[in-house]
Amino acid sequence: MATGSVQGAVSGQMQLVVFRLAGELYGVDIQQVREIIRVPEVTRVPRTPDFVEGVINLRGSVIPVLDLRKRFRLPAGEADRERRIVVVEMGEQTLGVIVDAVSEVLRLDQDRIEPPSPYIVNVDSQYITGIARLEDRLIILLDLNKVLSAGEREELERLEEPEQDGRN
Amino acid sequence: MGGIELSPEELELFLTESTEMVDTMEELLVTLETEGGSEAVAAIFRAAHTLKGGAATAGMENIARLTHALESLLDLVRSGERAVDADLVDALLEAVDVLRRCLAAVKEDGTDESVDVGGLAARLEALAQEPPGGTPGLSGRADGPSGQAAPASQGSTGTAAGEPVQEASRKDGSGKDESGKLARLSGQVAEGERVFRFIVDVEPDAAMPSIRLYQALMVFEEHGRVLQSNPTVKEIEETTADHTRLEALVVTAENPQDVQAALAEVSHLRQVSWEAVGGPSDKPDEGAGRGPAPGPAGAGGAPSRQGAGSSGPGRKPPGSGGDGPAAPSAAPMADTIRVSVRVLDRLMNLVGELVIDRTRLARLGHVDLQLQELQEELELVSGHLSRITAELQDTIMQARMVPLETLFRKFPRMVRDLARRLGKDVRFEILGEDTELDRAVIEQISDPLVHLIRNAVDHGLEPPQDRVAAGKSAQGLVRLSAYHQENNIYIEVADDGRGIDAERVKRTAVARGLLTADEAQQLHPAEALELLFLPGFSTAGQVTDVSGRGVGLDVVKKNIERVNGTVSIQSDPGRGTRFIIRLPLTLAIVQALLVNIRGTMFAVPLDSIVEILLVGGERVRMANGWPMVPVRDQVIPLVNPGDVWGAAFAAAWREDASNPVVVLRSGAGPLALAVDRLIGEQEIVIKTIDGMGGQVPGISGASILGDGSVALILDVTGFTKEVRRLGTAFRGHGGHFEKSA
Repeated sequence: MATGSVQGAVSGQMQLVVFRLAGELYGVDIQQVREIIRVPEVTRVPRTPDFVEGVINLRGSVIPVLDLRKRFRLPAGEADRERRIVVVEMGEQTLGVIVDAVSEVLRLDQDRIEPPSPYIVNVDSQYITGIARLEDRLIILLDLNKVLSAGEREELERLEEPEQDGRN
Repeated sequence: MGGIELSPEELELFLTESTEMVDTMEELLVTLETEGGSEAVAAIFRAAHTLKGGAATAGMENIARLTHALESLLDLVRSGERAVDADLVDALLEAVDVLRRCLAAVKEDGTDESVDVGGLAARLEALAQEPPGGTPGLSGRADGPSGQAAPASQGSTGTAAGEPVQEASRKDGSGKDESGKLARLSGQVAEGERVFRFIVDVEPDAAMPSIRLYQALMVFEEHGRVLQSNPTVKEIEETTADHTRLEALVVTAENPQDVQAALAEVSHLRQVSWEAVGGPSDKPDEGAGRGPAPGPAGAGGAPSRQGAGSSGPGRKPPGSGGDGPAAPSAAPMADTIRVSVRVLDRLMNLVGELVIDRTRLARLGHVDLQLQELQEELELVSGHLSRITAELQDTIMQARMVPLETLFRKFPRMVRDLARRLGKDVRFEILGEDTELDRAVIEQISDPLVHLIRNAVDHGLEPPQDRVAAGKSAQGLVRLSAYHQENNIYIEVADDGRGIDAERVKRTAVARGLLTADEAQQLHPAEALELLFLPGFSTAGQVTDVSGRGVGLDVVKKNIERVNGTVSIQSDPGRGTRFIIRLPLTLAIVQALLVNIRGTMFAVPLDSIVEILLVGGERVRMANGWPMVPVRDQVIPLVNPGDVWGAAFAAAWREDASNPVVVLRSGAGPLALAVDRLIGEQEIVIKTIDGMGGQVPGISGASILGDGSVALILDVTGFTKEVRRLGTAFRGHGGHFEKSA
């Protein structure tokens, strides 16, 4: 079954944090989410991949923040009052992920989750654990650990050389 | 095979205490060799004894075995039957090393089984049996009879009869496969010894009755030998059932009343009774026959592996049981730190004060107040808050401080071994070991200090004959001292050796291509010594395994700079050399200059800033493809952060106006950094960036500013290094300073 989804208190159920990103609804297992905050002032950090927005102060800790739109190579969004940072804990590391808006927390029966179909979504299917069909909408289930682990770690560590403004 | 199963906490405690014992033994051993003294011997003996007791209780057999051998040997030293010489100290120090390995193994997998102590134990035993070499003198007789001498004839040191069997039991060491032992034991009652049957009852409501019985057995072992017991040690160890009564057949030369009295140190014993089992002439097997049925053959012998061993019962002084050494205890360099309860209490009080402030602030939101009142109240609260936070900061800093002793204590041993290997006579002095320093700094300077001290002994001090020829005493001096001055801690490593020849340093540097002969000519002798810190420099004519392993002073310098410290050299040819390390008191808080670069705040540690300048844009000159700014009588290379971090972090550079520039101190000379705005000086708390630590060149961490935003901390060493690395790429185009024409 879907990796990363942890069985809810009631067997066969899971709780999702549902957020919007470029017009689609995404859900992540609530177990992966530590909290949801407004977007504070973000301090840019030199020579990090473009999807790293910078760092923020989360009650005294300095954590990196990523822009999920950039991560998925979606068109850049506008700075909107609805934007939120989903704070995720991955092992020792805490990270923030910027999304367009957080809409709800949903309890869902496991049997409503279908395997991912590459035709439905425009996000790399390796990050997707399934699709939840509700009466009026589709929710794409993301495994944030996957989104932020392998690829992201690699890119965080592969530091960019400074651009030379075309001169060299 | 475990003894009493230890809980993780007990194991932790055992490890901490044992580590302290081992540290104490090591220190005392070095003292013993240099200064001698029966007090040191007694203290080492007590430490070994305490360690043995703990290890035996915890079921750490190799440690128990080794400490037992140590104890026996030390006992001879204590009684003056064995002289202290370098061979003896070597062997004892090696035992300390092996004990450390045992403890490391225990930490790793809960048992010391994996460490082989057999060879060393045998060597210690051989040393114990070696005929006393000359009169008991106390210092370095390096060429004495070899400690490896074959296990010489027994009895020469007055060991009680019956040695062979005990020897055998120690050889196999495990207490396993000892069938037939009982029979052999029948010959084990020496002259002056008697056999008693002891019956020990534990209080019915004692929490762990088996442990009490185990302890009682240990007491018997201390005062004699246990021939048989019911339950056996194995049974106590291996069964979960609680035994409440112990019957033991004990051979001892002491009065049974004394043994009974010794049992008083075991708590929760309800009753101890004893009866004599015949006289010395009686065959013990008669007693054994009447004794309680022993377990499987061999089990009955198990207790003797705790080593009734060679230390004859009569030789132990009455008060030797259970007393710990009076040595100062010091926290080992672990992930944990000892904090005094007083400091914790203070922290708790301060946090309490903070909670009060929070309540007051929260109330302001609900109470209807005039603007004036609101302002006054806020002022009060913020005044209180800043006092509390300042105190909190102090207290936390205090809790992080550790005396340098925790680091220094390992050096005497190191110097001693090194001097012996090099054939040098070295007096090693330590001053100011109670100076306190932030834990994190102490960890970082350990390697550099090891290197400097080794250097001093190996290269600094001349061989004895050279010293004498130069009119000095044959014994060289190495002094390690620490002191506190202003906001810094200074640590010096000084020797009274040959000093450093500045001209030779220059020649070597030129030969290594580090600078030209002309440049070398210009250098002041003091500047020439700084060349020693350049990568790839080593003046050691010969490569020894001591300090010529290609790791030079450049690494020392780098490590010290990593903790915002500096290192310098003073040398007086013919008289000696002194390395001076300056360290900040703490790592967690630094004074910094805040600057703004393209909207991002950066904090530049003040101690890496030479000066702050306003430079007219037109004054930049290109030299050898680098932009340079004239500062008084020199020109300093100028770098725009954009050159290192990309255009998004390029400071604007105005041709027609003054531009703020921060001159950074770097290993390769000053470097001018262009910034957009100077904000001001402030104390900042250093934080790591979660998951990004050390990955961005030139950024060492982050700090949270008064308004809650984040400033990045400039890592000056990393930044200048990156500038040099990228240097060639910029050479010729002037980076962000080139006119866009």
